[in-house]
Amino acid sequence: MAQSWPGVVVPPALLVPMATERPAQHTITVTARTMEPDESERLVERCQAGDRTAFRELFVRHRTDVARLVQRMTGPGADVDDLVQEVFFQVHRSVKDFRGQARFSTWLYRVTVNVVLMQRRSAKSRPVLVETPESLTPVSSGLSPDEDAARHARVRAFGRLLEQISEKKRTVFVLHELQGLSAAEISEIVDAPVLTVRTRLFYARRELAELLKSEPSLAALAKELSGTEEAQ
Amino acid sequence: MTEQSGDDRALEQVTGEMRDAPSGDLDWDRLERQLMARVDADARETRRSGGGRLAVILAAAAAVLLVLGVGLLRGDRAPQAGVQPVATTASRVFGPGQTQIDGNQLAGGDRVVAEAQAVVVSHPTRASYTLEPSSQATVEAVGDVIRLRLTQGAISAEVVPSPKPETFVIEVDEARVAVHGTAFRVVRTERGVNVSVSEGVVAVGGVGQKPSFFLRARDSGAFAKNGLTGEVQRGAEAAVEPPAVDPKPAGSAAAKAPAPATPSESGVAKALEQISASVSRCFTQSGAPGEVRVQMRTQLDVAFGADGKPHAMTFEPPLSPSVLACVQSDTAKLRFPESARGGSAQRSILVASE
Repeated sequence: MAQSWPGVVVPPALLVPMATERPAQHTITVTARTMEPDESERLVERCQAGDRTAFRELFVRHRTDVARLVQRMTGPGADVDDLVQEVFFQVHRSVKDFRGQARFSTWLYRVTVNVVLMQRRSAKSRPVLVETPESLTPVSSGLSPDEDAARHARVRAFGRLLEQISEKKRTVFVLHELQGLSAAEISEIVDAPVLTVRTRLFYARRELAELLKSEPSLAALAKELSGTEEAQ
Repeated sequence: MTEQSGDDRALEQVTGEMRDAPSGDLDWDRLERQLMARVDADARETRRSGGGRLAVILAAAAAVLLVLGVGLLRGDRAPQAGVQPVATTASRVFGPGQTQIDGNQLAGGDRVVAEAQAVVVSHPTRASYTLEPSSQATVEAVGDVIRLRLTQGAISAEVVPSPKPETFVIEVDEARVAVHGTAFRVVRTERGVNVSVSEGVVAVGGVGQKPSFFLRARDSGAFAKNGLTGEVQRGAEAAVEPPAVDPKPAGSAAAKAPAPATPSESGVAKALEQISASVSRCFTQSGAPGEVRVQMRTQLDVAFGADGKPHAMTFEPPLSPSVLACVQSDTAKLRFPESARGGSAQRSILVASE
């Protein structure tokens, strides 16, 4: 299965041999992020000059990463389409202020995080309908139907657990563990020292590990893995 | 191994499963069409507001004058039971029939009208505000600073903290309420504007002038239409504190230079009274408009030196620099009685202009 790893910049020297020498099932799909800084920066410059086509190209290039981050940061019932649209609209409005202090993708993630947090805060006062976070529902991945369903249930349960930890810890956890960003990059995105980011990550993991017990599907997995280890 | 180890491994596995979960299907074509339409509309709006800035300002001014005129004819009661949109040709009207508005659709000169239902306007990453039922506001600017003119009713706002000095401003008549990173509510009243702060700091003053008041969390205040004068209630304690001095200005007695304190049991009280009188006099002298009566409460904390002189005299909220300088000058010769020397005293002071 082809995989993309948002946030992970694979050195070109590694990419070429992997793409040509390894078997097809290990092919890595190079996402837009690996094309930075040249492509995105050029597009940003053109955007800053008012080039509509360049903005559209930036959107196409980065929309999947943004959508994935939005999906992972939002709880059930979030309107991902609207949030993604809002992120890029804000990018269009603010791109003139981007001076290249950080990588464009870092800046874009920062905008995304801010848009999502703002939405979550404004939604706090509104009733939330608890429903399946479809965006986090795994599709068939070649596993047996039973395994697929179990995996499906675990991902849904884990989405609920993420909702239970604080906003700051959740943001750092999602950016690091799910988006693959480094602590230094997250530090720029959330505007906090690297040490603070690491601390939040540590406590996020600890809280989530503790919360696993409250979700039967995850508690069963933990028990199973614990048993496996003891058997070994 | 321990159960904790199983939890950690389960966490690692399920994190990986979530990471590998493919994105939900989005209708990218539709999303792109909508986005580009919005971008194009925004670009047009920017050109319009940039090219026709004078027209917008004139239209906004006309709208404000018209609102004021209508208000005066009606006795300026607010909030009104029904909303009477102001007729202007240069502005668009948002709100009727809507409960949510994307703030990015708004441009200078637009009006937001809440009729029976509140209208929530969101500027993602920056602020969101709720125009309460039977309220109206005119958008004056949506650039780096979001500036609104509340022409009727009330607005509650939540502003995202920003390193910029101020990012959100509400004007009511000539009063200006400016904030950065806070939650607060502004109500247009018959006599001016009421402001209550639930979080952060809000500055209140006249349009085009330095702030006259700073309100913190749980503070509320009622201010004149010019924003220069008003009364601030500090949190919960202010409501139960009795006024320490007569709210009327100290007048001629206070205008006199304070005499040396008499060393008696009431010496401290008399010295504090003199400081209060000085604050009243200096406050009155500071130039509040004559037709508006202004009240202000401040907490005095004063320490006395071994020589009986007051030092480390602080006021919370602080007095303006000119009033403080005046009070310090007034009380330079003040002496606390020997029995109180080396100690300190506190007093709540309520002062008022004529």
